[in-house]
Amino acid sequence: MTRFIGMVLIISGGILSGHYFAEKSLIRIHILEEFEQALQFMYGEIEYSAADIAGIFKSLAARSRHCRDFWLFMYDRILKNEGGTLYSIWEEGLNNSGWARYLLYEDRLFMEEVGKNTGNLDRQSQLHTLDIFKKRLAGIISAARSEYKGKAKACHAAGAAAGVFLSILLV
Amino acid sequence: MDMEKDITGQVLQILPVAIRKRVAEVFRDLLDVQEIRLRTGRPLIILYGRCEYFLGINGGLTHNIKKAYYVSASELREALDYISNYSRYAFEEELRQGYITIQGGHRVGVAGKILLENGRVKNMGNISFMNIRVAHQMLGCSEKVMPYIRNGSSIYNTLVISPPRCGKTTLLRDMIRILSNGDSDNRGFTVGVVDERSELGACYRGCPQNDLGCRSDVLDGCPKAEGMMMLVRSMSPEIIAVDEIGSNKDVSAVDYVMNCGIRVIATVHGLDMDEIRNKPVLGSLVKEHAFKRYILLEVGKIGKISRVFDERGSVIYNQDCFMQGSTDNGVRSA
Repeated sequence: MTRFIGMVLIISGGILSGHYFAEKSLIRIHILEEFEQALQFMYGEIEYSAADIAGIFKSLAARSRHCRDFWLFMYDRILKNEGGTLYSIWEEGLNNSGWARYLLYEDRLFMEEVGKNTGNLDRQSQLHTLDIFKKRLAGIISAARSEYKGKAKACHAAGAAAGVFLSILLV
Repeated sequence: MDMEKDITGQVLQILPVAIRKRVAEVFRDLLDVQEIRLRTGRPLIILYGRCEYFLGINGGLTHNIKKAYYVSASELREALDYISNYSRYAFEEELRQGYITIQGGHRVGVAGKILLENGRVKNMGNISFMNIRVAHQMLGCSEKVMPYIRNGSSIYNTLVISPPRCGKTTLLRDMIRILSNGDSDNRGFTVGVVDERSELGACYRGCPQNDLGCRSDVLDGCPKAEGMMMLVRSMSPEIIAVDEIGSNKDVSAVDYVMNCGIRVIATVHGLDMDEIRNKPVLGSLVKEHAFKRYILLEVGKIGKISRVFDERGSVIYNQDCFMQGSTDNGVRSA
């Protein structure tokens, strides 16, 4: 009986860890989608009213689910005027953000690039740059979505197989 | 006390960190500071109590240029980041005009490399010079002329005349505040303010930083002629106030507004009544007696109301009176 319970626990553990990795990919997609919305929001605010970046970050913090802490950090730091460029603050914000661990290295580089090219341009260039970033991000998200199904299946299968294998090995 | 803190905080906030610390060590508050001038590679100059000082490299103020604190290019960039909230794109129009208004109505003048497009200023780059002008309102400076422009329960169309830097915008601002607020004897008016250069309201994020009264609606950064039409259509003002009219369009708009039964208070550059009468466009309005009151400020004496004329050019006020008002910290000043 004990062996059976042990086997069940190990197999469940394997399945859950497979599920965790699949979920991680899904969260990555959600974060990227939220970031895409943020870029769209920034674009709209700048185009419509040339709103300053602090105000935009504040609004983004209010409507964000995953990246709220990042936008709040940016807003606070900008208002404090304690030195540093917008990019250095942006980078610090990314380093402090818990959700950044769900991102791939390329996603992270992309987000840093957005920070590098925000705030210090004229309006037309800023809008054009945001437009380019939106298109690039749409490509990244679409690739991530198409990869996700196969990846999730692989993660679930690998988790279950690892669980079964371990349970046979140990029990 | 709160006002002192506000002004000091608002101005210190936009200074680069290294300069901010030095300035904060020198001044308990910035109420008597008129200007702070930053120039790349040049000493930082502070206009304080009408005297000019260098900020000392070891703290304090000095007249010795060798002991002065020199401003670096990166510090100027840092200040510009703070002034623009890290959003250069949001201040394109202001940079084109050469100044940015910050919270509190303080005005930062900037100069650098001008970029032209079709012969017109398109933008400004390499900003290397900055002049932070600390705003000081003069509340009550127009009280003496108010009885001359009131007409029972309404007011007369009024034109304030003076050369630049004689205080006509300050006077107009205070007139707007008084007319808008009203008092126990006089009702308040709905005043529409067209503030093309953000000098009257000194709007920051759309909110006037100067007190323009409780019944004033401000169109900030809007061309005067267009703004007056917009206000007539949208805000049903009883009075429209506008600073520095001069062009054909402005004068036509003023004429239109007056014909709509709305009173106008405006300012214009000029030395005396004759000059205004002889102005090619505005002169016709003067000759038609469209304005019923003319307030003339004296040349070379900031804030001195020289005379008030009626529509026929007769003097109805001729007392030598400086614009006595209280600064917004409550101190009486000339």
